[in-house]
Amino acid sequence: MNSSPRFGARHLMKLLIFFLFAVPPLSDAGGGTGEKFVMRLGENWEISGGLPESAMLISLQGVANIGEPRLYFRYPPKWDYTFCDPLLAYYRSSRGMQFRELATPGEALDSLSRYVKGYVVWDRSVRTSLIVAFTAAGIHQAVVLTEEQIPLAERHGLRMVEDFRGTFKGWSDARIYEWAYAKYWPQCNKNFLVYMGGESGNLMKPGIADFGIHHVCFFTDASTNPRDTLEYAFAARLFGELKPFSIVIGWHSYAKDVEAQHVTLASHFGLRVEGLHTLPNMSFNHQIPLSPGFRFRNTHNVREGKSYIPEKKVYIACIQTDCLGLGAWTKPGRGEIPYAWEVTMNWSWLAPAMLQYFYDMATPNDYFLGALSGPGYMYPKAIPAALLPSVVDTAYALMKTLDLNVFEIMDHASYWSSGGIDDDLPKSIVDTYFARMPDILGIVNGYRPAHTFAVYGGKPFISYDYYLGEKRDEAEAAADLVELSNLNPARPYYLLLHVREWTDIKRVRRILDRLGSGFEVVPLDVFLTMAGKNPTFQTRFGALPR
Amino acid sequence: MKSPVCMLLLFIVLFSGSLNSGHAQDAGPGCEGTWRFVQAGSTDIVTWGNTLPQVDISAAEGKVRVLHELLDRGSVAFADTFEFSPGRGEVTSVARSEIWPENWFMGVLSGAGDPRSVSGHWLEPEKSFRVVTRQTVRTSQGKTAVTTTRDYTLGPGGKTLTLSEKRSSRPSPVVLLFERKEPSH
Repeated sequence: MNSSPRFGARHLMKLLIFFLFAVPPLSDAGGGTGEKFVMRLGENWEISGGLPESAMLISLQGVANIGEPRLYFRYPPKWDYTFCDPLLAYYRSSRGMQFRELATPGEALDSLSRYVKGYVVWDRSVRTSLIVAFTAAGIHQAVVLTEEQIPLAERHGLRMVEDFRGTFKGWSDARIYEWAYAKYWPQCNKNFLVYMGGESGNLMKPGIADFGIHHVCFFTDASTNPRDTLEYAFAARLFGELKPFSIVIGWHSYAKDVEAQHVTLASHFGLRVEGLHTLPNMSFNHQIPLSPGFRFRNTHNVREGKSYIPEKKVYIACIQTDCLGLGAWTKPGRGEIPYAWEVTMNWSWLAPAMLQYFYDMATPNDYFLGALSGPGYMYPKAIPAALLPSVVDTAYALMKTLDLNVFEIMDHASYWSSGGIDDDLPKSIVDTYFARMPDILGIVNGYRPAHTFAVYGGKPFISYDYYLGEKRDEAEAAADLVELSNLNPARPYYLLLHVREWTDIKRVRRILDRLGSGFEVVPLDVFLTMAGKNPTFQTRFGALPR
Repeated sequence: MKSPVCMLLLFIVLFSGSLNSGHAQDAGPGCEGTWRFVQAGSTDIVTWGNTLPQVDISAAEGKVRVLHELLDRGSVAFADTFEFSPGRGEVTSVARSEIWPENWFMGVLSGAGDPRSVSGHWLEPEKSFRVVTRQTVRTSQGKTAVTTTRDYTLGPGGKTLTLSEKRSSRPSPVVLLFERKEPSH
């Protein structure tokens, strides 16, 4: 990125002091004792379709869950996160929760409007007015409505607290957000910023909005593309005014910028990105504590004192990235082959019972690793050098809590300026991670294949050699792996395979079954242990960012 | 398309310096021209982002020039050129980019700064030719040599072009189908 925001010495000092005190607790201790409700949300998320109803319900959830968790949604089957129903069943079985089913918005308001203090009307003709309405809803403890829904709200005794009809007509997003900033920012939570991005145009999927409303967050989808000078400056200002080490929760707008720009800018300010905008039920989940006495236990495969001597083979370790709960976890095949799963470490305090669900459901072949680059999604090349040690320390503390001994880094700070080939890290950064994570087995790196490889005292730093996309033809994917084995002729050859989250394990297994006996899939921790002791890759580091 | 290429093609068309002139005048148009990728009928490929391949073939002064481009919504995201004199041995140049355009999903980089040799010859005049490149690639275990044999074959009526690409490292060929891109008026 060409234009890096300047970092003031005072801000840097504030950040350093903040890091000393690490992660603030967010949730209360209980899961609530009052009545709980569950409701299905529809498939249609278009402004001209089902979005107004779903947006109203999600805002109701954010407000109704203040104090204790009361309302849980079953998102549709095609939603990004596929664990809503299994997690609901888990809450029922492990926590003894009982839920009353709600069928209509009217029923939802019948049961929960007593927690609501009013309504905010957004303007169907100005999409961004809904994003601002979410901010206003948090401040007023209100629900968001279109004008067609006003009679329903009035019938439930609710009164209008804001009306955006016509307010923003013809305005740019930059102007709308400046208006919202002037009106709401002083009252908003400075520990979280909600990025209500993702889809654009007629579509919006505001799964995270309940959490943002619940915590009185500011909502935006301001562009972090430096070419969008006004919105970029606005985003940088917000980032700079958040408390140090805050969470940017949600996701960037696919129509305005790219993920790499978004995470790079957040990392410049030492902020942690926590995706996605569709993350469901977080106002509920964050209030459910761990079971009494529960401790996170990973399924370690490496036994102390045992030697792991590799044969003359190609060893493959599979990692699914892009957040637990997206894609394959609930799909067929889990447990059939060794598989490593990137853990969204902040869920340990953002949604502890939700993370416990994944640990409780893990099979012996499911191995967890810490991610991503820091205590949240960050790019180390974009993090100010003075902050990186504290970032690594905080991530390491989370790894200890979660019983993780492999860490993963991804850095696309230089990615888009390199034709999509620079996922690499300079030695100074890799040194910092190894120095401050003394008990780890190793570090993996990349998203697409990357090219940084090293060994530190028998512990490897290995980049992905293959990215298995969900649409890749299976025969061609197998040919890719054979070709890689031919291009890397020394044995053992350590082939780290990134599986795109939408690829289910049955499919991965079919591809791997096409390979010959010279290939073996092993657990990630075994893979790293062998690679650290018997490396065949060449040491290589990336360049410092330009 | 870059303007020098346009000028070259225009020159070829106008002044009959083309590959097909004087050889197979009744066989329809030859290989020259710009060829647009046809996904259906091609091997599944993986390029960076939304890029799609395009091939431009031209000839002048006894040399054949094959321009491979990756287009992202019409803009050239990557370009690579093979130029050879049919049947006259290898021409060696230096690879300039680290990008290995063959497969974005594999941990392979082009050996930037390393020599790359190109040779080519006709398999069937005006209808089919072969280009052989030898180059260095870099993988996690270091540098290794790859020989790629590309056969370009004109389809019936000169409307399609099939590129069969065989890499010494790969167990199966990659077959790409292209259709002729008609000049816009």
